[in-house]
Amino acid sequence: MKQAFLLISSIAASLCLCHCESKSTLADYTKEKILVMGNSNEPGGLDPHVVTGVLESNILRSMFEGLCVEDPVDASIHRKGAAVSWTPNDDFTEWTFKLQPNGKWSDGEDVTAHDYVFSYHRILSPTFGAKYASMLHYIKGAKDYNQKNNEVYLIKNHSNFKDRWESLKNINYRGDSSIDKKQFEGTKFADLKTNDKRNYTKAFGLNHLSKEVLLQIKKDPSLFKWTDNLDKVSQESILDTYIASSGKDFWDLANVGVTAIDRHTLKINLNAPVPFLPDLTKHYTWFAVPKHIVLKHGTISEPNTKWTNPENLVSNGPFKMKTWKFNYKIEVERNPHYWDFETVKLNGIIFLPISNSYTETRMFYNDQLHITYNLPSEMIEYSKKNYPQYTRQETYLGTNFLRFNNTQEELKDINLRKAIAYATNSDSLIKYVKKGGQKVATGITPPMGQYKAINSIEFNPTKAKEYFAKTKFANNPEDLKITLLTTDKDGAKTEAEAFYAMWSDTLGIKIQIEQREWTSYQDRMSKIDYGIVTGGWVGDYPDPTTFLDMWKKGDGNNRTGWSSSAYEEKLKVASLTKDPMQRLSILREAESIMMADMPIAPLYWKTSNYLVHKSVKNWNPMIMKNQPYKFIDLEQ
Amino acid sequence: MLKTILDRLLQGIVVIICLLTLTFFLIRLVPGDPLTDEKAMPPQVRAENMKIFKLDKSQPVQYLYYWKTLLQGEMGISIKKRQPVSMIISQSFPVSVIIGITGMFIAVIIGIPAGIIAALKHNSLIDNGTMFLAMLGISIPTFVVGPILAKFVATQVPFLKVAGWGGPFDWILPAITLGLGTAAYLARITRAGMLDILSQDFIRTAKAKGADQKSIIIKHALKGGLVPAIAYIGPAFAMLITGSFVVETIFQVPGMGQHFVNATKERDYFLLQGMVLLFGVLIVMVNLAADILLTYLNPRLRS
Repeated sequence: MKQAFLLISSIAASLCLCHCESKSTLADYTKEKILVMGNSNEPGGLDPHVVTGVLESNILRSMFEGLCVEDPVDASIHRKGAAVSWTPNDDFTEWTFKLQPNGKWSDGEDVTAHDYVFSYHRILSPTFGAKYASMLHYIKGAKDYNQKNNEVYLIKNHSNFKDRWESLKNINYRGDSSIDKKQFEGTKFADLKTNDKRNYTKAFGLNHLSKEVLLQIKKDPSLFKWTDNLDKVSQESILDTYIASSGKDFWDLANVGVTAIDRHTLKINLNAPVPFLPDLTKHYTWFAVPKHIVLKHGTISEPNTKWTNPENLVSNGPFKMKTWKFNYKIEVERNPHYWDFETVKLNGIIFLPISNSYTETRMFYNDQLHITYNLPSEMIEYSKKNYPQYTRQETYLGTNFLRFNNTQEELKDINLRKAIAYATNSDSLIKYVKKGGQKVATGITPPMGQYKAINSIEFNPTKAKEYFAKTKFANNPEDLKITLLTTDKDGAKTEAEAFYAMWSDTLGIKIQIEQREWTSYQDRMSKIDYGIVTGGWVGDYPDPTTFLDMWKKGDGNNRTGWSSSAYEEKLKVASLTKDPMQRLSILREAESIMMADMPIAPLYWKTSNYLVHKSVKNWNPMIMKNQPYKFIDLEQ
Repeated sequence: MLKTILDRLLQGIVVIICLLTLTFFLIRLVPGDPLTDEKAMPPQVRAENMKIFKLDKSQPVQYLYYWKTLLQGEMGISIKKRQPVSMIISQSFPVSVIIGITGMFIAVIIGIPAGIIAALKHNSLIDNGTMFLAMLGISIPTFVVGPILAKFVATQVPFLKVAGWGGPFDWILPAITLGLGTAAYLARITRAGMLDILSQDFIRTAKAKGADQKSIIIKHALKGGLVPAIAYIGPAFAMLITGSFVVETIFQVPGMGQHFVNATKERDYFLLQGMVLLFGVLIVMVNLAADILLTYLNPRLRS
């Protein structure tokens, strides 16, 4: 026993010795000008082309720099970033970016226009599988290349088939999105029954079939549904073309609108007018990655290589990687090669992945953090009272809303959707449940810049009852069986109960509340397997389309089963409109068309509640909370 | 003895294989998959990612691939964090071991003496008091003890932090939070074991022979009285290392417990399998060690 004790204590002692680190207080960090931030969680990687979240963006924006950079005060101003100038043509379809003449990567290599071409090639590469590649679909040819619309290169523009395109264009190249492809996951094509094989080829379309499947079709052409009156010879030659080019990269044929005019000039051609392109370039999907480093550790279309390991990571922003200890901390330090080195005031930033927001708040009150990621709703009042100078409550570019399952028998009735929407008292939800100073939402798009929010919904019990009277449950509300799907996150249950009470009071209906853990909830939502579901959306860039594009038919984030051709037509018209103000007013019309159908019920526009220490300077409210770190300072 | 150890090791390997197989298929039965995300992926992006992680293959094929990876000494990549599972484990395992050892140390120095004293002062105020405290320790969950310690102790003691990881001082509060429950169990088990031994004939004989109280307890009673406690320490130790999710999030400790819970929640298949593998090995090893120790303490087990 004694020996065991000795062993344990000696191990403990030796660990003590090797693990000793002096305890720095916040005042020390402030003096050293190192900003300590809560960042909620360990990032899902640090490759700008792989990640998709806000917390990753927080870290990436410190190390990488977009072509344009946010202004610390006025969101409508674009500051010089990796580019010194950007000039659009008359209709905003062609932009020329002049890069910083002395722009350098953190290893001292030049940042060139070729890095950008390489980066956009990489993120759009269909085999790379970037989840957020659609952020670059504004670029000419980018969508076809990214989505493997190979018929454009193989048939439409190919000398062998060009003349016959009219007769060939109806072949199923792109697949049938109405067929659920998940059913084929995990089974080999060869093992499928003949009927399923036909279904498989129909679901995927020629562009997405592997070489082995194409070869099987060649043996048995009936496995693919060709268009009527297409002769065998054409079938064969199309198949041969596809087989010969299987696995090939079409970048050179795709003519994607990104060109390096010279080392420091980048030209971007777009499909349609994009007056907000400078805003887009601030998003991490538009950042450049160092070509020389990425290629050292893998090929262009290979994700998850070692280039983002802390010892390899090279970036072009105000800071560079210093240490990355998994789930412990990420520390970045001032980048000596940064073109605007003088402006950077901080010597470094430490990002802590604090997932428990109560712990985070405690750490802040205990002087361990300069900035928290958020503030739990129960703590807002306490903080406002006891730490008024630290407590921030700022508008945030996001909306919370309820999705209705527009395919469910009961909710197909627009009157029921409207009845529920009008019976929802967002104001009391904010006051008594959320407590974060959110604003009652009257539309899906929050007001931003020149875009005024539409006025589509309000809390109105009388109207709610009127609409409900038109449904078939008017006289027997208890017969209405719908479920409200929600998560297991903090406060989700209280929120669901609030809805229960509101709808039961006004309409007399009793809903069933279903709580599911996060992944199951997401899974159910994406399969539209719910009645009503709570949800939200955070904008990626300050333009209404970030809230409106997702409601198109077949968009993975629609998740309501609702669609409208009139709505999509308006969006299309808006996307071709040159005049920015006119464009916004068409977008408003589109949103009104959507909200007239009430496929969702807007609840509130988000706010961001968090704590900022008084020693942090220039941390101004920003609608996307993307404060540019290079202007931030620390003073005792 | 060697044969027993080899025997147990062999059993352990079988257990781990079963464990991995079950985990592999069970997690794939749960709704959703690692690519389920708040923002939906376009179908062809999803298909590419399925390919990248070989999730497009049939489950038996994926299973064989997994074993191939394992036999090559790798554990695959965390799909959510895009980091090798081996890296995640190698960075978080030492932290969990530190917290586990410190927690166990606290549990042992509090629990065992408390149990012994309670047994010696059987039915006295001390006995009842200790057992009351032990019951309290078992009943109060860590998510209550942790924040209380953070709020009322850490803010008062200058060298303690409410949360965060750095020097050895930061081990104290998480380890206490983690160790208290185990200490309480240990106290109860030790007391019961000691009471059992103290009523045996050989103790009475020792007393009758005039041996003094101290040597009776140390030489004769402890050896047998601690057997149940030691049998408990083995698995409890493994639990302390693996099951500290709550403590880790309350005190912001970069240990392994969170990965286990998060990997399950996020369907991070390879990370979860890696965790299960590690926990399986750990539990088998710790149990084996406890068995060896018990054989040493209890001659009857040697045959």
